Amino acid sequence: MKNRSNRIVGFVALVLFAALFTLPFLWQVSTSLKTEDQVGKSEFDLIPRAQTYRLDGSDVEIKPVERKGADQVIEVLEGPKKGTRLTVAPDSLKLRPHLEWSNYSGGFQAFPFFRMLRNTLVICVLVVLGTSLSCSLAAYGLACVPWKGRETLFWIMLATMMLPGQVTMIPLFQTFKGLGWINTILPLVVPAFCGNAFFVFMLRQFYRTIPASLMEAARIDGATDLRIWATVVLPLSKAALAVVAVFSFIGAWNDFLGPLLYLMDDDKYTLAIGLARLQGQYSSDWGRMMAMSVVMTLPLITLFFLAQRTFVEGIKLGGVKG
Amino acid sequence: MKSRFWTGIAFCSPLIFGLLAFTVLPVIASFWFSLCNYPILEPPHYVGVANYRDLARDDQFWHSIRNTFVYVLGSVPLGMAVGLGLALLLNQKVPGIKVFRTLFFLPTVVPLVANSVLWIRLLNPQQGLVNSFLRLLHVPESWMPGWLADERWAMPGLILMSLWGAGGGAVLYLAALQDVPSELFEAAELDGAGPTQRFRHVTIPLISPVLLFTGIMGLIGGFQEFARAFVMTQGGPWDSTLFYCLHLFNSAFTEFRLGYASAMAWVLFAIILVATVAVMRASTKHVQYEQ
Amino acid sequence: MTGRHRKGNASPFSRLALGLILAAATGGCLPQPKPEPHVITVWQPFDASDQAALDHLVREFERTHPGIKVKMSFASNDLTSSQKLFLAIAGGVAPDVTFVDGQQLSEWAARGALADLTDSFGRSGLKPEDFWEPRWKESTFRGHVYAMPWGADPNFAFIWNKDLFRNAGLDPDHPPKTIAELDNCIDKLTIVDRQGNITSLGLNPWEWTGANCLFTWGYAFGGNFYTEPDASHPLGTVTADNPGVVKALDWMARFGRKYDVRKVTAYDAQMVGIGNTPFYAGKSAMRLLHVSQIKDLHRYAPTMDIGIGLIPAPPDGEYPNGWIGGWSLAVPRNRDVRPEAFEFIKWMCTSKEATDIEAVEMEQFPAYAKSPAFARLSKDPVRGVFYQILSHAKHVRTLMPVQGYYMERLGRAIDEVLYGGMLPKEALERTTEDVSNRLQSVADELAQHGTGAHS
Repeated sequence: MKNRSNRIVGFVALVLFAALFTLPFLWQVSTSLKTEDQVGKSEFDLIPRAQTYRLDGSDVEIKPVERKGADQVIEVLEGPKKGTRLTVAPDSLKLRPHLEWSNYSGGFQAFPFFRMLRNTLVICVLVVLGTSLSCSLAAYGLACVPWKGRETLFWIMLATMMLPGQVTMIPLFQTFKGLGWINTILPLVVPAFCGNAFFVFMLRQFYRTIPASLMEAARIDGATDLRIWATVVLPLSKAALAVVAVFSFIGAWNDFLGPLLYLMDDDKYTLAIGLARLQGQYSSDWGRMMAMSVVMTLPLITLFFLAQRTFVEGIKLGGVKG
Repeated sequence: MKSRFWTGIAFCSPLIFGLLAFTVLPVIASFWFSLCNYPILEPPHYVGVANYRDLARDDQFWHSIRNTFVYVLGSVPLGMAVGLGLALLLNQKVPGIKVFRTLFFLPTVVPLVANSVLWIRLLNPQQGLVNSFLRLLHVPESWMPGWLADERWAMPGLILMSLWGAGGGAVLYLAALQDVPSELFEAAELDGAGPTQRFRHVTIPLISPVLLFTGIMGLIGGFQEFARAFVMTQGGPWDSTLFYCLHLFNSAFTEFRLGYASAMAWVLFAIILVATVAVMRASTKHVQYEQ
Repeated sequence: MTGRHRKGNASPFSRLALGLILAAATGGCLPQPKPEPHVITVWQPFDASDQAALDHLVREFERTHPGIKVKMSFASNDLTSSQKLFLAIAGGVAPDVTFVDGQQLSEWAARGALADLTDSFGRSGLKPEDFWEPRWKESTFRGHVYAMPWGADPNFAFIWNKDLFRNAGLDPDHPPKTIAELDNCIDKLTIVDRQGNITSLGLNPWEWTGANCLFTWGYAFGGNFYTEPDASHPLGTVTADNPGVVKALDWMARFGRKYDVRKVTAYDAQMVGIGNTPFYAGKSAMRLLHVSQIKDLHRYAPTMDIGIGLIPAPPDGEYPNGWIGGWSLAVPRNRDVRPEAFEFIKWMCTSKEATDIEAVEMEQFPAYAKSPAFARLSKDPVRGVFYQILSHAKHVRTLMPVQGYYMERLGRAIDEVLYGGMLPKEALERTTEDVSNRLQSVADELAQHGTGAHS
């Protein structure tokens, strides 16, 4: 009985928090489906609406065109009188829910979406591969192999995160320039194959919870370290590794500054730059920008939804231990 | 022992290579810059410790340190607590849990600009949902926070906003919770431990390595917080959200003082290092690795 | 392993050999390579809505200049643009031509970011008088030319919501012309409820945040922010504590005290973001409009009855008033000024085709005063007002190699007054002192090390 009420409380909390956390996305979706004359409204309204006018006994959607004295000129957008312009009193207009998809079609035309998508995907896939591989190897070296100097290396690695990137940017750029990598994706991709302090640290924490007895047992069976890494550690840390993959994908997908600094051609730019270009210096088309934000967010949500299975199906260590 | 040394080196070799190839040189260079007058576009000129001396006299520097400490002290513990709470909620066996997990993760993938624009509206003192909620709780109008329009409330506003990203931490805790063997819970329950005790004595110790990780990363990231203020407040009102790294960025790229900015960066490095070592030391007793 | 190695090495040789054989067979000598078109690279900062116009500009230039190809690419439109360009200059991979915002020119020129265009300009047959004067002044530093002005943004026009004027019993066709009239309008148009919350706003004097609002009102009040260089002050002097600027800030402070700066800021920030204000929702009566926001009037408030005119000013101030911003074209340092690059700059800034595309498709005002586009712009009911501002405006933000710091510091002074209650005179005197010190240290550095541009 107590158990049951606990579960109900838990579920209600879940729903409440979910509503709270979904709000940014819902608002983004809602703005992306609003007409221009509704985007600027001050009321917080999650339901996209369009103005309607009662014409021949039915409400038809209209678009406000201009002002005429105290009245408004409107254009009828649907029904048999589609396209006609009428002069009406402002208070004869009403609102009704309406989805404005033109922000999406316009957004796709605003920049070469598919070329940018391809550029972005190439970088993302390489970054995910490089990060997962190099970080899990390094984390094994730091967590599962006892050797003199590993604490020092760990602290050096951690220390590199503590210096703000703004002051190492220029020498780093010159390094890449010296390697002839400017205007290629190499500066964005190769460092991923050389470990990432954040993920190495993360995996190290997970690997350290793996019972040493499991690895010892494999070693007694004659397994090499590489084999232990591949057959014992990796399967046991599937959840953590999936987190690394998802996080590093998201990082590369949303990275704006890296591609902007190292790539020099419009042809090579990524979606994050395309999205940034929808925001003008003094004036922005918010509907279109939100539409493209949604388009950029959807693949990440899908990826997360699919990958989360791994987060929770990580092998129960207790079971293995017996 | 020797063979283990080389094994360790071998596994860490990509990491070591990366440090040598892409990190060592820029780091040394930036330390050299901190001893120079370096207007970015002209070569650096050695000026000794002048930049460090100037720092001590820079009101904005002290101001930005204070702001940043407030942010770290507020956002890191709260963020971890919210993240842990979310993870516990998400660790339930209820219908649709996969969808819930995805929803909680949403704010961390929404592009920053879209998120910022939304929060400017949510935090609006007159019409924003946050204050509407406070009105529901009958908070008197004169106590109503002015959030981003008020120098006293802008930083709490940004901290509140940062909690929205707690879903990222929750995912890590969730991954760690999967490793908590259910027998341990059952054993604890048989011993008569209530839910609070089970949480304190079973759950927390078992996910402590991940808590340590998110704590340290929160610390390192919090001290370097930049983007939200850069996009939403530009440090205002009245410098109340002038983060350390925003001041550093302005010094480097709008005032052409990369030498000064580098000195700031190294001071921050020292601060973060001390904080990290302190947390690591303090946690040694509490973090439990192998079971 | 060795086999693969050898194969990899062999292929260029074999290709070369094949080439030689073919050459020998076809004519006994190597074929003359077709002349490669000269390619110039250009970095632009505009958002996606301008892409079609930019493509049009490139097409038109290539059509009228056979043999030159233009590769234009985006280089960000906010502060990070300087990051990309600075890194590229430091790394020696800067483009042939780049857009630079007018306010950045003095500072970038002083820091040696830009190549000296004085000689090319001298040979071009163009004269400084061909451009709107404030924009031309911005393009030179210590007597050298570092850029050619491309656009001229007349900041700002004054717009008002006629319905709200009518409702408040004000004449919608007679907008305020003096500050006294403006204050009267603000009082009648601003409604505050019992809790002290604003429910309708007359005008937000600090709408263009930071230093920009002080430039606008400071110049309107007859103030000035700098003096031009002379023999004893080779970089000019800072005059933020000039009586006109003090009066302007004092006026803002009075407004801030009366309606509570936090309430006004909160009210104005309820909209989605930059350029999207309560004005479009009919909830504020007056505001200052940037030329690139004309399209927003149609986009967000197509049926609003809007008047457009000049910014009010006190009797001892300046009317009409305004300051000019805008983009210029320049050549980054470390690049020789290639003749094709300068030709492109000249064409972009002064040709009929380019300034037409600029005016019609990009909805910007050319900095080239002789552009035929002005014949049409000056007759347009909305753009004509901007034209009027442009033809009277005498100012730019400032002309100083500490521009970035100056603007930051002015923004801080405004907050010290509005939020901190400091006296405007004191805040601006401190600003003047701080910026003068910074200017002095730049002068010392220039004297000590020279600049990349001058040495």
